[in-house]
Amino acid sequence: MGTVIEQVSLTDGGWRTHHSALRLAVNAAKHCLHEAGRNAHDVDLLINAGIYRDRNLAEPALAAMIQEDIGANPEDPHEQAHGTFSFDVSNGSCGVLTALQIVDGFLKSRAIDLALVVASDADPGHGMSEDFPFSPAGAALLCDWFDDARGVERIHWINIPDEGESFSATVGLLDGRNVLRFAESEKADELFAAAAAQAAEACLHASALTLDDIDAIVAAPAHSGFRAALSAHMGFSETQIIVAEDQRTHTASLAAAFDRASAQIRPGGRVLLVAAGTGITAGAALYRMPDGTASRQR
Amino acid sequence: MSTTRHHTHIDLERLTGIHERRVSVGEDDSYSLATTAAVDALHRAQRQAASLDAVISCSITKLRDGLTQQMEPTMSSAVAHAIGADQAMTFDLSNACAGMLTGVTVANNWIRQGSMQRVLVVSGEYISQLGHNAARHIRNIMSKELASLTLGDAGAALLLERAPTGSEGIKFAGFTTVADYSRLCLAYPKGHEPAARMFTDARGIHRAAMANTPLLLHEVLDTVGISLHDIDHVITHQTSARAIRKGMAKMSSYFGESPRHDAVITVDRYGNTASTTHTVALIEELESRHIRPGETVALIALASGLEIGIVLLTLDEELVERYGHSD
Repeated sequence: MGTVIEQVSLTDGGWRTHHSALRLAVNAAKHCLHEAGRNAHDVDLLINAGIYRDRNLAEPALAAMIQEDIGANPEDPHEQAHGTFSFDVSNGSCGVLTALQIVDGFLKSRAIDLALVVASDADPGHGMSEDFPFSPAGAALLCDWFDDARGVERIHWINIPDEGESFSATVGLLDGRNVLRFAESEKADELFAAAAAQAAEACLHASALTLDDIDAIVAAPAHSGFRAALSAHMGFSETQIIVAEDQRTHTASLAAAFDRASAQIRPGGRVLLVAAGTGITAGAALYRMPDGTASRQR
Repeated sequence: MSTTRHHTHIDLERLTGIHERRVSVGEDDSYSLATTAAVDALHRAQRQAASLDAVISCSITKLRDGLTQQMEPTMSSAVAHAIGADQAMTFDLSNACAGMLTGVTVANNWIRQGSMQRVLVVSGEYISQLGHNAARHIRNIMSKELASLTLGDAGAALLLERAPTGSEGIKFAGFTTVADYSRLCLAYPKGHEPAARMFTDARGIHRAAMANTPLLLHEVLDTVGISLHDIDHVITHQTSARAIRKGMAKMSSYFGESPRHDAVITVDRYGNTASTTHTVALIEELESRHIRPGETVALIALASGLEIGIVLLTLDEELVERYGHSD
C-alpha cells in the first residue's frame, strides 16, 4: 500500500531553457503527463522541489507558475470542478524525497488522487550568479496510490548538523549587485555519504531487511565521489548504486536516478531510495517497483 | 510615507488602516525570529524539542546574518538544530504568505494518519527591508511597490500534535491555487538594493480573491456540515483593514449571514507580516481573551499564487487558558 511513481520525465537545458528553471519544469511536467496519457486537469497537487530559478524569485511559489503554464485547473473555481493545489519545498538533493513524503500524506488521506512532483534548477544568469555549479536540468514525477504492496515505504531521516559547512548557497549584495554564490567543502561527498549510509541503515533495520534483500540503491546526489563513498560506507557494490547520468544535476538527481533504475530493475523488485544534502540531512526509503509497469517503454 | 524619497501625497494610514508596524532594525533576522518563536511555542506547550517529528520552516524571507538570503542549507535545519530538535525531519516550504497554513495542511495529513505525533510549523519573516527598498521608488498611488510599505517583521510558530479522537483541533485544512493569477505579485532581488523588491497588482489580487473565496468557503462549509454563522472568529491574511472589511461584507452578502464576530484585524498594529499573519492574529486574539474554548476559528489564507486556503479549528481549554483566558 503506497505512493507509486507512475511516470518520470527528464529535461535538460537547451538554448531556450538553460537559464530558466521554470521552462525546464514546465517541459518536464508536460512530457510526463503526455507519456502517462494524463490530462493536466487530473493533477490535484503540484509540488516543486527545485531551488535555483529565474531571477532568484522568492514569491510566489514557482509551482503556481508551473501550474498556470501546464494548464492544470488555472481558472477561477467553479462548481462541479476540482482545483489544483501548488507549492514549493526546498531540501536540496533531498527535495524530491521530501515531496514524495508530502504526496504520500495527501494520497493516503484520499484528499487527492494524483500528484505531480517537479524539480528543476538553472543558472539565473544575467549577472545574478557566480560560478553556478549545477547543470540546467528538470524532472517530473507523476504519483498515484495503490492499495497493494507497491510504492514508497516509510522514509527515515538523519541530521548531522554542520551549519552549512559542507555546502551553502546565498543571495546577497556583492559590489552593489545581488549575486547568488556558493561555497562547497572538499569533504562534502564523504560527509553526505556518511549521513546517507546512516539513513539507509536505519531504514533497513526498521524493516528487518539487509542489503541482500534489495536490488539496487537509487541515490542522490550524482557525484562519483559520493557514490564511491556511499559504496564504501555501506559495503554495497558501486555498480548497484544508481545515480543520475549527469553528475552536476541538483534537485532533479533522485528523479533522474530513479528513471534509470526503472529501466534496469525487474518488475516487483525492491530498491532503496537514498538522498543526502547540505544541513546535513539524509533520507532513505524502500520502494517496491510495480509489477509489469516498471519496464514501461519511454 | 515619511520615508519615501519622492513626495507622493499618499495617505497610507487611511488607505490601509495601518497605524504602526514592527520592524527589525538589524537586531533580528528571519533565523532569529523563527528560532525565538519556536522556543516560545515549546516552552508554553511544555514540550521537549527532542519529541518533534518534523520542523517545517515556511517563510518567504530566509535572511540570516543581516540581509543575506540563505538558499541552502534549509532554514528548518538551522532552527531545528538551534532548539535541539536534531532527530526531526526538516525541510523548508514556500508558498508566499500562505506558507504557514500550507505547512499546517501538510502536517495535518501526517498527524491524522498517525505517521507523526508532533510537528512544529515555524516562520521568521524579516521582510520590512522590502518596504525600505520600495520607499526609494514609489512616486504615486499607482506604484506596484505600494504594498511593500505595509510589510512588518514577525516570527511565529505553531506546535501541532496528535490528540485523541473527539478532541478539539483542526477540523479541516485545504487549499486551491487559482494559477491564472500566479503573476500578480512577484518578489525577487533586483538592482542594487538588499534583500528583494516586491511588485504587486494589489487591485487584481483583491478582485480575484473577492471573486473566488466565497465559493471555496462554501464548499468547505458544506464538506464540514456547518454554516457561516457557526464560525465564531474569522482570521484572514492581514493586508489592509479596508480590504478585510470589504471582503467580509462581500462574504456576508454571498451567504446571507455572517460569522458570529467581526473579522479579526491586527494589520493596524503589526502591518502585513507575510506568512506569519494568521498566527500573530490568533495569539493576539487569545491574549485579548476573545476566543473561548470550543469556539470555531476560520483561518483564511489569501496569497500570491493565487493561493486560497481555509483551516477550520477549535481550541481546547488548556490552550486557551495558556494564553490568559479565564472563564
